[in-house]
Amino acid sequence: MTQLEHIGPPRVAPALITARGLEKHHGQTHALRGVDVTIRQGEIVAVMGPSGSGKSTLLHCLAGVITPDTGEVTIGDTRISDLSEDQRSLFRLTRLGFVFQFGQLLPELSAEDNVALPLMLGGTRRARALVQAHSWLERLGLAGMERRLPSELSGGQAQRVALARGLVNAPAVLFADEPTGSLDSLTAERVMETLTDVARSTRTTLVIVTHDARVAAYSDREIFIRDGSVTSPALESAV
Amino acid sequence: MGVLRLLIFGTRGNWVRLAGIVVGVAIGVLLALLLVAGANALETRDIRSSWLQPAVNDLSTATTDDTIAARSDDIFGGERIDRLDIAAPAHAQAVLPGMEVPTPGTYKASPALTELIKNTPSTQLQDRYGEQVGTIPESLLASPDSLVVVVGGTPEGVSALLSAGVVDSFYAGAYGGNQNYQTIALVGALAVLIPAFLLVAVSTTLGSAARAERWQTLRTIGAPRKLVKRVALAEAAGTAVLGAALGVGGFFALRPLLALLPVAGERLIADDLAVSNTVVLVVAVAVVIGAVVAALRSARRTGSSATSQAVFEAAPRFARVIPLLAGLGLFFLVKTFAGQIPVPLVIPIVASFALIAMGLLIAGPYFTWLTGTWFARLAQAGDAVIASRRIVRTPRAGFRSVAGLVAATFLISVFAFSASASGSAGSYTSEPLLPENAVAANVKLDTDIAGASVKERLSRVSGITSVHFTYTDGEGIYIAGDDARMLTNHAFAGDIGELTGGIYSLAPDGPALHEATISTLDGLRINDIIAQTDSRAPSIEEARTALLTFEGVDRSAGVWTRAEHVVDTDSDLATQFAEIGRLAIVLVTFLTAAVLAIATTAALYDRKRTLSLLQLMGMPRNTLARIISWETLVPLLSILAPAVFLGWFTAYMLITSLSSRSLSWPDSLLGIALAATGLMVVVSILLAARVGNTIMRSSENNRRE
Repeated sequence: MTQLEHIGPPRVAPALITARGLEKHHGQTHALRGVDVTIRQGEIVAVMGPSGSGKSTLLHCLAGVITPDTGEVTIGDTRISDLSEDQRSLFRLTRLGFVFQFGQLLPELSAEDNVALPLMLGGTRRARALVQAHSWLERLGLAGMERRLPSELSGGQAQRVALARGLVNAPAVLFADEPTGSLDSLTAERVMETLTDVARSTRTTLVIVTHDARVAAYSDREIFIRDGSVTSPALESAV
Repeated sequence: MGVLRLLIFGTRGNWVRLAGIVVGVAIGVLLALLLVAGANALETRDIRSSWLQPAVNDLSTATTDDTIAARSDDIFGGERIDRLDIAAPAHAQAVLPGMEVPTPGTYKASPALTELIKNTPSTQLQDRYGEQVGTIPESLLASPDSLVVVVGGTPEGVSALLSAGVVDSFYAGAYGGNQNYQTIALVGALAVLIPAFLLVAVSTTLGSAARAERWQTLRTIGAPRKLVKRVALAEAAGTAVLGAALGVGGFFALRPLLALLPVAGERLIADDLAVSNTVVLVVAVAVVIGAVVAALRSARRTGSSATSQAVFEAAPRFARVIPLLAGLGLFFLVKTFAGQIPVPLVIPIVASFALIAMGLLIAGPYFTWLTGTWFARLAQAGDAVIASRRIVRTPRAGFRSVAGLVAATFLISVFAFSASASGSAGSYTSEPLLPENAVAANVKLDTDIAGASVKERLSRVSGITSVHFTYTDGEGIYIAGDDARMLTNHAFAGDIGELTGGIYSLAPDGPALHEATISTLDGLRINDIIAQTDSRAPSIEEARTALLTFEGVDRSAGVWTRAEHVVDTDSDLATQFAEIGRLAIVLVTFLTAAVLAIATTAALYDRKRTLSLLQLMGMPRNTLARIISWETLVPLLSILAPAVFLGWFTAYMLITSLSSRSLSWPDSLLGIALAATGLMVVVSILLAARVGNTIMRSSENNRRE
């Protein structure tokens, strides 16, 4: 499947993530300036912008990792802004998945334990969690590498392990922050294909933060951020 | 130089890390110096007051030119008074420098005792000694709190005392040249030095992961290995020099405060807490060299490659247990061939102790790895999986956090089990004849005193309610049946009782009192005078004073209550162990808390990235506390039982090699110390969890672009 053949979400799909009037300061820096965003269920969205534009801050606000100074975020029926810190942690653990740049695996855990980790942290016993972990590793072409440590994996393999970890708890939304940031272009392409294929087949909403247009090309829709504000695609093209 | 400054002081985090190292090194150096000063002070004060236990020859060699002295322990209000009865002719050969010997009927007292006498009715204290003619100068006293009296007497009077002898020299050297005491002091010093150096070692590893990462980055961008080494060297030497300087400064500042701490009930004199400049220099230089060598080793490891890979430790080998086994073996040899060893026993004993203590720390990572591997197989929950994998991959780092605690458990066990030996000798095994409200005096050998006159004189002392005697025929000790019934609760039916173990009944076998085979006490010499009182403290002291001034009473044998007799019996090797042990335990506990807190916090800072990731994934807050608990408890439990066992074994070997005593179950000291240690672990875990959560929260707020 390529982006030319992609099947977008039905136009009638309900909104899954709604953010209204998000403002966030990091010290003197005004990272988000009244951001409004709506993302539908099953949609693949790329949040784009140059370095320092506020895209990662937006992702962290949407995922409930940080709370905005003002504004609110809703995922499904849950208003993230109303949750306590512990409740937000539990929400992330059970409803959301994350994929980051290379190196975000726990170095002392094997590939299978890294994948099983979200389930184990949620209370599933290891033996049972490993069954699901193995299933995902096999599905992502990593059969036979279950016992390897992150240091024994290639960049692409490590990123697929991270992807399996992000998906193992069947999240409603998968957040990916520069998922191909440290990969060569061929590996990056393969990882993105896998990522989007899996998201579509499982109807998981995927939010990708990237500054790479080639990565963004895999998405259904792009959201541009510049100086903490959402801008129009036309303006970005002009820039 | 500019690059160096930027690399070392570039970030706030690095400032904090360097400050932590400086503080850790300073505390380690401070404690090491205080320990050396304490050991010096104890020796100095013992030498200064060693004239109280003069080297004496048998009285049969006495001439008119000789000084005759008899040492005894006097007691007032539970406080021990060192008493020296002395008879010195004007032209005596052995003299006390700095003090003239008082003439018969007069005495000289230490300032503290002079003050006590001044504030006490003379019938309770002063009348024991006569007329005061001066004070003993501080230069002859162990402490400003020392209660010492020198009482002048006639050669005949002093010679009649049981402990009397012809003075050969007033100076027998520190601890009376007692090798056992030196052994105990050395063991105590080692016990505190080991955790002190652990603290320095742990402090210098603060933020090692962040440091390694920085050096790796430098190598990646093309910095030559030489620059990495220079940065490492400058950082390590700078922090170590500053830490050592602060430690030395802190030592001189805190020295007067240390002098206020009572050791064996007496304060030290500040000037005694002296440490030579050479020792200060050696401690400081050793710490700096150690820190520099460790930093360079670390730089060589991380600076050897320009690529970034997670570094795990190699699995520890069994060879790590060898020093521990060597220590145990050496102790066995010492015990087996004690009489045939050509060197002083102190050398192999201290060497064995040091080998076992260090061996335990060297073997720690091996035991940690073994237990971690087993734990990893069983782990099912997320927290246990994370903790077990980390322990298996980095057993040395895992053990480092609890190394101080393991050392403390071992040392506390050594001292607690050793102290149990004192209890084994000082407890009553049967009901003593002497009731708790009575004082007893022993009559001089071959002195026949009339019971009626004694009773008449003692009846004038208001607090005395009754007077009783024991008698001797030179073989047994007897008491009238009526007296025995009055003094004890025994249902003794006979007319005359025989005392098997004396009036204090410390004999371990048989009944203390049984019916005598003799039919009358007439013609027997009085052996003990027992004055029963109304239990009031002033009455007991008045009775004691009356007995001490009674012609015919052997003052050097002591005039004691039953409780005081037990206390005095305890003043031996094992009690010295207990004294030093308590001091060591307090210091070691403090050091352990510092080591545990620093090591746990340092480890958390080194895992900032992992914690941040787990936080992003939504790890519940209490899971972090559970991870820290596993990572603390597994290495600890893997070696806690061996540490307690080795503590018992070492105590057994020490006590049985140095004395004829045996160990029994330790008193509550071990339980209290271990409970305090356990509490420290819990507090440390909770604090570390708080720090960890703060690190995660601060990571969470970090921008990730």
